[in-house]
Amino acid sequence: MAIEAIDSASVPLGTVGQTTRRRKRRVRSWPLLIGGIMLVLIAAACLAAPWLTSYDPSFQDINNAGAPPFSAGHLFGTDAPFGRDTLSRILYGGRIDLLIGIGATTVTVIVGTTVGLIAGYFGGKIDGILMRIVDVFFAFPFLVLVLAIIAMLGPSLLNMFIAIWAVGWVSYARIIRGETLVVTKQEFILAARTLGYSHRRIMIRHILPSVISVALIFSMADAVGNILLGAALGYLGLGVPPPTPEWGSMIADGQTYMVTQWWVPTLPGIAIVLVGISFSLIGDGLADILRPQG
Amino acid sequence: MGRFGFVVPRLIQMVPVAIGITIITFFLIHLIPGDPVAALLGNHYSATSAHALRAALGLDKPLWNQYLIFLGNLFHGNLGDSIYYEEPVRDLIFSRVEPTIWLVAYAAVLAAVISVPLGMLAALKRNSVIDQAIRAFFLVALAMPAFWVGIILVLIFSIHFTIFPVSGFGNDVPSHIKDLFLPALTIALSFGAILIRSLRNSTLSVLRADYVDTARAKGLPNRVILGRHVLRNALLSTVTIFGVNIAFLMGATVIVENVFALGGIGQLLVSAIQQRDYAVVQGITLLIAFFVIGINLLTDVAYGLLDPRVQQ
Repeated sequence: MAIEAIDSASVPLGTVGQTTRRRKRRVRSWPLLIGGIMLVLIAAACLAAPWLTSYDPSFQDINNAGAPPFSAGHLFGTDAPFGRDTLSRILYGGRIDLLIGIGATTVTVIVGTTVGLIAGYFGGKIDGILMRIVDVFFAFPFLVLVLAIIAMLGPSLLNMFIAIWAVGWVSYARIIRGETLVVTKQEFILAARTLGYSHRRIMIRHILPSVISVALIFSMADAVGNILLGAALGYLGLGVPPPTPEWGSMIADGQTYMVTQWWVPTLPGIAIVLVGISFSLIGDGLADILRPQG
Repeated sequence: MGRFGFVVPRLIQMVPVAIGITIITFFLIHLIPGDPVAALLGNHYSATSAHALRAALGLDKPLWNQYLIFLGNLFHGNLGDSIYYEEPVRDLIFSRVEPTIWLVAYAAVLAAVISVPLGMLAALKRNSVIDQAIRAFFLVALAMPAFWVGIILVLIFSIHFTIFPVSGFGNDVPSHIKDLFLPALTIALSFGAILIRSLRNSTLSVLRADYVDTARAKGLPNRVILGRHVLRNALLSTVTIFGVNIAFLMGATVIVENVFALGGIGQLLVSAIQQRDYAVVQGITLLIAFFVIGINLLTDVAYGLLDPRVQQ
């Protein structure tokens, strides 16, 4: 996700006044609306799984294994060799994948933004040390370092979160630090300093509101990355242990029988793509609204 | 200083990052819950072997001392031993490195072939139907998990049309090129999408540059402006964009190797995690990170050689 970081960081943010005026003038953004509706619908379907499907995701019906989509009682068919209902597994599995996307990203936004604020505001030695640490993390491919940490801690859902939290904050630190450097030089910050406000108050009340939008926009792309990462870990057998349904591990299971049951690996992938697109659209929409120029 | 004078400060900047990489990989072993020696030895655990390894890693010494021992071993090319394969990690990695290098290079070439024309087209025809279509491709491509794309490509081109093999790496160069096409394409679709967006942005900024205005004012034909001024400068930024995104490429390679069972480093890494072969995980992590900063340096040097402005 290093790329995203650099892209977003290079887009300058306007003054606060401009941003607010813009928000009033163009509240409606099509990407935001479409992406938001898509995500709400998908999340609602996953949460309402018990009411939308009568099948337990782990219920095995060997006699009906490998039933194609649109067959009686199974809209998306069943998997092989167990005969579990694919729709039900996708809906229940989505709970895990959405949890990874939202849970992993929320923590990294908070940690990374805090580090970036501190580095950009205080500058000097603190900034130097923090940014060297960030540089080192960027040398590792995100996936490889997360894999290495999970390897050491042992595969589990909690350890997956710990690994993503430990690595994911660096992008936000770099972006927010850059934005903070710009804002800190502005006059209203000088004024706040002259008034004798505490560093904490200046950072939270004066700088944060100006820089947080960039972190929010980036967090949508980051959420896509984290959902893909969570699914990849599930696919590699390093995520949530079976029989708990999860989209990545469903694709791995389906790969074995893809010659005869193509829908088993295909459909969960489409679910991932739809979630990813909705987060990206929300990110694009937020960028339209919050950034002064397109 | 000469032509390569600009390389020196870059090399100096790299030193703290390289040291940082060794510190992080060193600490990985200390994340293992419980006794790292028991974990490192696995089934080979015995009182004598544990004592020997404890002494070799200096685990009875303070942390900074352990790190120095780790660093010393590293300088001698010693990455420890694999408990599963019962051979030095270094030899193990080198015996698996070939498919990985092929795949990374192949994917990079395919991604460049896809993204350079499309990225520039999107910028030149800004806000046209083509631009919108390319942006839609970007939106979808970045939401697709690489392992799933690989499976879909196999379903279409290996199972339905039987053009390419389902897995494997082949034995000679022509079969490498054929067998690795689907894995490389899988990576190139997402990697290329990232390159397209960066290239579109860099081409747009070149189009806004003063020298393009000058060329227009001189009355040069559009064809010459695009070919001589815009294209060359935008291609130059491709080098940098490539370097910045090399870590992403390596991450995708690890996953895709497992989809197609290519037997490279990525597959070794994942199987080592499943076998709790900690020394192998540590060695591969370290090597990939050094590879990434190495490529970063190379792209910086290439950029400097291509663009004389950097050398001053």
